[in-house]
Amino acid sequence: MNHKLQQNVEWTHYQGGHCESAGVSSLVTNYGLDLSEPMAFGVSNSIMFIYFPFVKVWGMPLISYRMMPRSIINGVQKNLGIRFFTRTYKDQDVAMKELDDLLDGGKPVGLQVSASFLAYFCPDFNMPFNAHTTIIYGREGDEYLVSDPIFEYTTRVTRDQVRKARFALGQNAPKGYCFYPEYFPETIDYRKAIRKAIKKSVTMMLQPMMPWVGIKAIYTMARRIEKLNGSPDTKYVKNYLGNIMTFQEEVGTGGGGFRFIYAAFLKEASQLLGMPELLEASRKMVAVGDLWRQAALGCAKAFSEKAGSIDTIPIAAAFRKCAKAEKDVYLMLKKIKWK
Amino acid sequence: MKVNEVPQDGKRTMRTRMVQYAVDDNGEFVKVGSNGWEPGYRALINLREDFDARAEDAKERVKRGQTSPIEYFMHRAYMELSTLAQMTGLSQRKVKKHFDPRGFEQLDDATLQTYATVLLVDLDTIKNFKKGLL
Repeated sequence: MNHKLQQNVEWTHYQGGHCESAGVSSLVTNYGLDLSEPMAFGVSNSIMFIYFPFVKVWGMPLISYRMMPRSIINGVQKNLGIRFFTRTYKDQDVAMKELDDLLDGGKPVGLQVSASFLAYFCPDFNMPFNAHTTIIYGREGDEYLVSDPIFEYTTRVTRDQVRKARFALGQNAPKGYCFYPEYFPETIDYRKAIRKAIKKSVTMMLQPMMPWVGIKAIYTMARRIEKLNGSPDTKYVKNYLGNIMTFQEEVGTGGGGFRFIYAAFLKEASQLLGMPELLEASRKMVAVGDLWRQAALGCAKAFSEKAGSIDTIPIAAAFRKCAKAEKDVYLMLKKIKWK
Repeated sequence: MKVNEVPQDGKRTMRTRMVQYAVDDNGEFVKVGSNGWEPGYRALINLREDFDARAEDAKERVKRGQTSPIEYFMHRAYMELSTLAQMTGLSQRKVKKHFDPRGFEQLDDATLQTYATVLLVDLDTIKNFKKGLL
């Protein structure tokens, strides 16, 4: 296999499930190396569960189903040997000028942006959300051509919007972060990369130390939900469950979604390496994703309840079921014999 | 998730179909465009209404001289005190002080401009907000 980095990129738009993995996959594929979205997601060991009650997003605890933003870019670099040019800026003018130069030189660029400033994104609902990844593949004067990885179609944004979106403040401030691939390795040892990535994911998810990371975090969240049972402050309970739902299913593909992407990765890996054990794990992971969806449906049911108090016990039980099923998958992955 | 289980409720906040990875009859993964999931959509709308209610409440209090327009615009921009403090680079204590009408009066234009940039409104809109209400 010889991968050649293309100089003048003819852009093809790909749509994916999650902004960062789809963005990386789309960029790398367009530069001349086929990398699917599940592979980018899995090989950068990005599957995760984080529950940080002490960090508030929109006034509610932070719940994340993957690693932090930029971890996919870093993970792909580390495990596959692809090198990206990455940079953050202090000066906005320098950042915008460099973006223009790159685009004029035929190099599409991935950007970390705040979604609320992009007019096409979600016009009815501009909540601040800093960790979106989008791709700009060209420009016409002061208009940029955008190929947003989670959108069906390509679109345009103005220079002013891009500048504001790149330099939004707050949590995960993008600071003008941009990236594009600048080196592809001659050959990629997928066996080594996948093995490393899976082992790392397993270690992280099964870690016994902190109650806010991995499987333990799911139990922590379930316990918190259980404590809310019969709480007189139904508004808070509803907001809390609504928050879980928005993070799981609406914002950034969500919990179920990430599990399905990871299952797709396991399947691809099993075909690539000829390992039937991974296929079995993939099947189990799909079942886990379905459990997450059911738990979210339970939240939805409680959410539309008109009664005075909300019974949260079954919801907590549903999340515990997810935790248990997911733990089984990781234990299974842990036992795989890598030749 | 099977292909036919991908939610197609027609309610969505973004102007696109979102891709979901589903399993087809042969056990292969396929990307399926989802047309929105209603409960998730409702949760987001609920969140927005929550912020709107808080904004209306703040508006009333601005009228009565109990708080400053900054609080109103903060809720309008879907932010919390901690988020606003982080985004402006001011301390929470300072921001709270600017919520006080007297603290707001003392604000210089430069700081007010910082607020205006972060909250996505014009400087004059913030300044003349109270006058417009009376």
